[in-house]
Amino acid sequence: MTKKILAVDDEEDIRMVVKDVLESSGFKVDTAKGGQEALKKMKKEKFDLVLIDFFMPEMSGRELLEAIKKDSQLKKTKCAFLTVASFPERGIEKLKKLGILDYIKKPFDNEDLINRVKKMLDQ
Amino acid sequence: MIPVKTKVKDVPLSEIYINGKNKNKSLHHRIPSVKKMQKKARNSVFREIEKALRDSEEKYRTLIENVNIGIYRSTCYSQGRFLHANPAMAKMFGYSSIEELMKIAVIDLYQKPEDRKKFIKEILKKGFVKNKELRLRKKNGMPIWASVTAKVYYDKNGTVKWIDGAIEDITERKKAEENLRESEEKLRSIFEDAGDGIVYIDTAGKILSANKRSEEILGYDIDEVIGKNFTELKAIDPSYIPIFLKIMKDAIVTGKKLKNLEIELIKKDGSKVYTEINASAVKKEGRIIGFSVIVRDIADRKKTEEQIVEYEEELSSIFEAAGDAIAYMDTSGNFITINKRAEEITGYKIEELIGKNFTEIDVIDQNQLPEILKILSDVINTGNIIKNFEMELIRKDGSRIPTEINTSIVKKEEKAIGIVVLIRDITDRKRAEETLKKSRDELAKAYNELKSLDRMKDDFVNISGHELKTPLVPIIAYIDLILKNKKSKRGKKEREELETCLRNAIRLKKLVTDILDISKLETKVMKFEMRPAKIENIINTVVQDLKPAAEKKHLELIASIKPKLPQINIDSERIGQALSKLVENSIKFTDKGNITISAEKQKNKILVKVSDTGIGIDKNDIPKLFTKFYQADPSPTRKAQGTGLGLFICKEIIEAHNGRILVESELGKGTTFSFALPFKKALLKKHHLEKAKKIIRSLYFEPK
Repeated sequence: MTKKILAVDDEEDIRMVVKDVLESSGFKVDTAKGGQEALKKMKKEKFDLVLIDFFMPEMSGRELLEAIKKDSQLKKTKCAFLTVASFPERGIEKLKKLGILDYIKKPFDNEDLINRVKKMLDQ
Repeated sequence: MIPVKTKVKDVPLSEIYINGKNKNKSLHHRIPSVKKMQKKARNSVFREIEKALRDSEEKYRTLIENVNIGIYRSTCYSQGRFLHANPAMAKMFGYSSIEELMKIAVIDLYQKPEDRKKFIKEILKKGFVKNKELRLRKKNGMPIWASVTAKVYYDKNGTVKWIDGAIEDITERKKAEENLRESEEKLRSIFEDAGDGIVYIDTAGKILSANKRSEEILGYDIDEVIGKNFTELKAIDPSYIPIFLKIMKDAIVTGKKLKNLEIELIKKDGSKVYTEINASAVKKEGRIIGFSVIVRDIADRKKTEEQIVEYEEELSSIFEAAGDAIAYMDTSGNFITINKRAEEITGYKIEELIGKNFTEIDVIDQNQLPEILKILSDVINTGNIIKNFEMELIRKDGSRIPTEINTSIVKKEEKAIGIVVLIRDITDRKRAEETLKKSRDELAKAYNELKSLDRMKDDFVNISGHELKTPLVPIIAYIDLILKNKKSKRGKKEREELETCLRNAIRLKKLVTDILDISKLETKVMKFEMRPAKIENIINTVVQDLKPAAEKKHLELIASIKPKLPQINIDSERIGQALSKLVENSIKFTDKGNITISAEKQKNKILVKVSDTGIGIDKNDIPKLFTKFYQADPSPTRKAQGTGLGLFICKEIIEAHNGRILVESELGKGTTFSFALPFKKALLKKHHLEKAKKIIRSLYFEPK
């Protein structure tokens, strides 16, 4: 069964490229331009993985993650950050404790992104 | 009447002497026997004789009893006994009565018993002694010098009967003699040991005596000058001799002394010596018989005097040439002297100030005067100095001048006698200070502006860093996607063009990442998180990450880690980053062979090495390696593309861990980078932070 991925990013071009890269590898990708839209979509439809940008206006990636983890319906959804932000190791560890499986830096290497996504979906 | 003590053993009865009164009585005894033979009619004649005898006896007795000379008769034995003594004798030796004296042995009056023996021996030999000086003692033990004149009396058989003697207390005389001797001795030692030369000449100028010191001063031996006339010696310049002779001649007449004559004398060796001469006449019975001449070597004093003169000249030239006004006042504040500069500063002429009190001249603001007077009295009383006291003085023309005052006290025998006041015109300084203050304010303003600008720049780096990366995300991803799209058919040239786009996009990504890293060294450098970590894990991660890149170039990436390495306290992410950069660097410059990452213990450190079999680095280029934007191959068509920041960041990270990167390389053979990380807590040294910040600033911004 085709895995469904939700890419959340305020930048349209990035939403598009993530969608195109992942779909070239056979995933089904939907996008959301912010936290609210993402939550709305997640409640309508079940996603296997949510890739969240960190810096977004209105609701930050972290706030979205917390909202997902607080929601009993959504909390089991696999999540990862896909961001230009780079954090020190300890910061990443803390984020992982919040429930993310990976932390992918942008700009990414297509192959690397695909491999990491596959890895997460297999967990 | 003196009772005769027969108890005294050494006194034979035959020697018993009957004193005046007893004698009188014995006469009285004899008279009846005469009476026996004479007629009563002749009694009156005897009475006459008796009376005459009595009178004569009386006179004699009175004489003996009243003279100050002790008169005695004693036995001639070594112990000796007084047979008779007069009251002066008892008094002389401190006995209360003649009777008391009679009780003692003669030897008891001697300080040394052997003196008595010598005395007896002498008197028996000669039959008499004359003015024999003896050291005797009083009853209380006090010594007494006595002069004794005595004669021995013999009976008709030639046997010694007694000694009659007269004794005089000469203690005072002896003392006087002693004192005289002492003072002579003293005078002699003064003469000999004097610090000055003393020469004694007669009125003709003949040298009678000279002391040791005069010998030293003039270099002549005493023996060779005694008896010579001073004019014969070459000690005095011949031109002075007439003057000396005149002085002497005058002195003989007037008795005038020669006082403090300073003259240069000539030593025997011809060298000259500055002396001061004093001379006074020596008189005998009112007549001048000679002169004592005192010669003082004043070479040192002359030198000091010359130095003082020099010093005074120096001082006065300093005084006049000083850039500061100098005023010397007495303790009441009256000007004693001032220098030229004081005229310029105050506008008053020297003549207008000298002798005046500073309060008489309106140089000080009336409002400030009480304060100044108090300070001055403190200065005089405590001896404290005023240092750099700033005040305004009023010039003669009424204008005001900012000055700085310094004072010091002049003391004489611990008592302040004057005040030296130094007045410096600080107009220029004040002006400069104001300018300085103004520019300081301006600088502070500029600094604050800069600081906020600096913050803005930090914010700019942080925020725009992300903004810079974001556009690269779709560029890189899409080019890659297009290149990998197998469905699309595209020519070789088009493919190469796309690859160039991708390569440069990736290069731009790296550049942006490196620049952001450096900016983090500035803004987040405090967040180096030192935690115990295994170097093994870090190396393995790096190998895993970079294996694909190495394999692309058919290079082998080997990890060679010694087992059981202790943990080290590091920021794993940063060290990983540094190590990655070294390995990336090696991959970039190696076309054949392998890259080895090794780790081993070295003392209390772990030594990490990255070795490659690459092109190597020219020895001359090694020092440049770690400078920012250094590129090994500067040609514009270089194959190896990098940011030129990698090794620089690497070095900063290692140094922040108290480590140091070392490079060994041989052209064509390969390069080894190595760094050591201490086991124990690696402290992030403050100077590294400062240095890192400075580097980052210079990287991004114009130098301030």
